[in-house]
Amino acid sequence: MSNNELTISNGGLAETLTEQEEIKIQAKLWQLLARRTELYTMGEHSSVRVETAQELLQSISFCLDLYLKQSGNTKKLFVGADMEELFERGQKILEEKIELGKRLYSKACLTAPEIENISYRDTLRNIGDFFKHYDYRFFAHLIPCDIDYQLCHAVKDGLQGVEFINQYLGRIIMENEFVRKFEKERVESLLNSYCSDYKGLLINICEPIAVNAIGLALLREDCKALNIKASDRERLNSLLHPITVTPTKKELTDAALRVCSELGINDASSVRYLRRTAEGLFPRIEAALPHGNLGGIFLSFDVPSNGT
Amino acid sequence: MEQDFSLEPVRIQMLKETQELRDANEFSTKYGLSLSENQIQTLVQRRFDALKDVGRIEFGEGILKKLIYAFSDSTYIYQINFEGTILELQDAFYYFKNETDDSLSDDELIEYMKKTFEGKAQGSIEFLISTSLEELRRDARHGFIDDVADDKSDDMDEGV
Repeated sequence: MSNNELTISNGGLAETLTEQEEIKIQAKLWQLLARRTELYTMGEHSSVRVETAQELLQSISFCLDLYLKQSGNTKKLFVGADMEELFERGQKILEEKIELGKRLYSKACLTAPEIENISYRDTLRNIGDFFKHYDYRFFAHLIPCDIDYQLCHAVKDGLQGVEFINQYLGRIIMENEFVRKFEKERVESLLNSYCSDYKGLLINICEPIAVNAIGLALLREDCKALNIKASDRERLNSLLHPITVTPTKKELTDAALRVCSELGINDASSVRYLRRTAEGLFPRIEAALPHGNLGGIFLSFDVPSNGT
Repeated sequence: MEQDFSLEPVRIQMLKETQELRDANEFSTKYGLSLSENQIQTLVQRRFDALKDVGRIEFGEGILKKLIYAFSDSTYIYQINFEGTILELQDAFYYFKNETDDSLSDDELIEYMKKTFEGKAQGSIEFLISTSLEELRRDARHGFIDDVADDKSDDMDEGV
């Protein structure tokens, strides 16, 4: 039978249910799916494609999971509860998340740095469309927009729908606010060194800035300068050599904290975000240091050569 | 983490449908048509097979009851071909639901099928499926589906 192809996620909640409880939950889910399908087709179609039913079911699952997460309950709650009521509660949570998302989106647009990058601008614009096209009643798990711009730290795996968008926007805002701490001309000079077509290619704006700021903080220099000259790299080379896991990682995270302090970044999430960037530098430094070549990590502003 | 679930309480759905077809017998008897218990079981089983074949899933009552109510007064259906015709109509119905991308509601599609069956097709299921519904499918694919009801009903009236 076609419905054998339907699957539902367990919502990541480890739960031991008896076979009887599983059967009971499945029957309730089936009834809820039937009701949602009837609403989706406005009662005009007694049947739908399996793919459509699968999407509707995933949306239900997403919504119920949201309620479980928010209320601290486990799947066991489904056994005795009115599924439709739980679903409606999940929808209410979704509505709140959508409102939060809209506020985050406004903030992301308002804090966007004046740095040209096509994928950044397109993605921000597309997220605006997300709020126009997001069908949270029937397809809450989907993300109806293109997101090309790569964050410094990608959104957690497994996030769906508005949860993904909200986390993405939260991270974009942190990155925006960080980038805006630096002079535009310096940022552009650094990005130009990082990638001559930084306006057109899919690069992250924040990451090279954070890396150089951390490099300068390691040297106890002004991190706002952003430029790491060849002589600075020599000093970094000496400072980090020989590389050992614990002390080097500590130096890097301390440097990240100094950057936050210098730039007046107090927000705990933003501090954690930069610390993560600093920790992520360790394997790159570890690979580059034996060759005495930190030039691919800590960048110098491009100096136009004569005659060109 | 995903797990396969056979969600539908199939047995309950089958029992419900069986009872619905028994009830439908009361209606179709007025036109000299009825289904035996064996025929009812066959039709119910074929409903699930047909859905599986076209990759669809159905909730609540199936389409059989509606087809019986719509086609019982047909001048081309007799007791001898009643079961077979309903079976073929059911298969055609689900096939064309997919092929028209659900552009027509259940009632609209049944109405179209009935008018064509009684009109141009003159009781030929083969014509209904191969010619008339193919036209409908093409119209749906080309986005002309809104005009179908009017245009086709004119055509069909000519054949009646």
